[in-house]
Amino acid sequence: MKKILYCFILTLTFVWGCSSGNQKNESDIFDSIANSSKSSNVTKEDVEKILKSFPSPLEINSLIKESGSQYNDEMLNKVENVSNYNRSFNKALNLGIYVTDMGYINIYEKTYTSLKYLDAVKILSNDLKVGQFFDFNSIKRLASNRKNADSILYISTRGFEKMNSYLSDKNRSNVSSLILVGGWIEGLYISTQIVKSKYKKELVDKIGEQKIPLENIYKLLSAYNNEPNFKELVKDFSDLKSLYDGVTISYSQSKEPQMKEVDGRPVFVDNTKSTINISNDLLNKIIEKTSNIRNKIIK
Amino acid sequence: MRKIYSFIIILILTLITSNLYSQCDTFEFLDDCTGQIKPFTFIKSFDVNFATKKGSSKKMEFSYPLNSGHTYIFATCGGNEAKMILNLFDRNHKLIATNYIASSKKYYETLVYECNSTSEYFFEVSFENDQKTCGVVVLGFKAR
Repeated sequence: MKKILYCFILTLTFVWGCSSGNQKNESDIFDSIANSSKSSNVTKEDVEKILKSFPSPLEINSLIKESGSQYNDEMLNKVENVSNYNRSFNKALNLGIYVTDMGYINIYEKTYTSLKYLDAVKILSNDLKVGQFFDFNSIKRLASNRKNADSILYISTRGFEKMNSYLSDKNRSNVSSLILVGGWIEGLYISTQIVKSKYKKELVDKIGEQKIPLENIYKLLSAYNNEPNFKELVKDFSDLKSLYDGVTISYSQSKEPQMKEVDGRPVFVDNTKSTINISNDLLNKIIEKTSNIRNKIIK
Repeated sequence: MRKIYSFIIILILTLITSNLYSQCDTFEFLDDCTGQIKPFTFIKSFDVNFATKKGSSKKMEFSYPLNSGHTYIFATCGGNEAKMILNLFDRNHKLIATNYIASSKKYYETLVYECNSTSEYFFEVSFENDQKTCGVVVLGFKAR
């Protein structure tokens, strides 16, 4: 009987030991990243809600292509820069940037180029111990055919979500926050650079519409304001938010959406219209500020 | 001694099953659910897991910024073949769309929304008969 009890206790100890051992390693890796928002007014629940509602850069990337803009990988963060990122803080931000760059490349079906960016994503995600969520082998296999761009986008987005879900479960939302913020600023940077070279009304509207997610992004970052690594980033986003305060979004009188059934699906048509007002002077300031923030991150 | 064996086996089985239930892997539904949104492009998924949800509410709430000029699709995929009901609200929290038409008791697994006003939208998800199971909502989009 004693043997059975010993065996049972040993098994439990082993299982417990394994799981707590993993957590210890993760803590070590993220030591340089802020770990709490105790002194902030933003609660953990707020942070998780904001992370779940974080907009995907896929939409803005897709609109860039639809606007007729030519593919230009000169705008993207150079893959060679990956070796410059030594701190977890910069690794997380630039992982987000490279994932958005990969999305941009895949939307233009440049699957071969996306492999180079995949290597950068792999390096940074492995360094941050979240590489297990990206199916690198499948992505590499799919990249041999440009018709697989949609599948690559799906697999990488799914991996990204799994990673965020895992980080949130492990109370590492600060890492998710940095990755998502990096991805968002890169999407804004790419669209502002295109508008800088050629004015496109639909893209300018999308740039103005970023006022909505920016409110939440700023709230999210301010949760970590008391951490030294975050201070400068929060200040930069505070400046960007101040500029965006000058952007106005007005709505026509709200009317009930109409419903119709199309191919067995209920389709609701929004009868309210939104209008973005952004002056050229303000647009130029936003373009400049976005460029400053993004270039500071990729340095 | 047999009693001890039985106790240990029951304990282990209880731990395993309760762990599996609480970890109801919503990613299992993701591939099938994403198949439902074609020809839309996958943007994001939202886990709906009442097994791990805190509090007694039988609804889960989410928000997401939707953009004018884009058409969105919400696909709902749940466990135990339970119908997942999704209600979409505008920025003023006014109900604007649903996948369950109460008047005709008609249920759809997907909901399409042609957005003409950019703002933050809200949606709440619940299961038929307030079942506390799990599932996933997949959001896709296409430009018009």
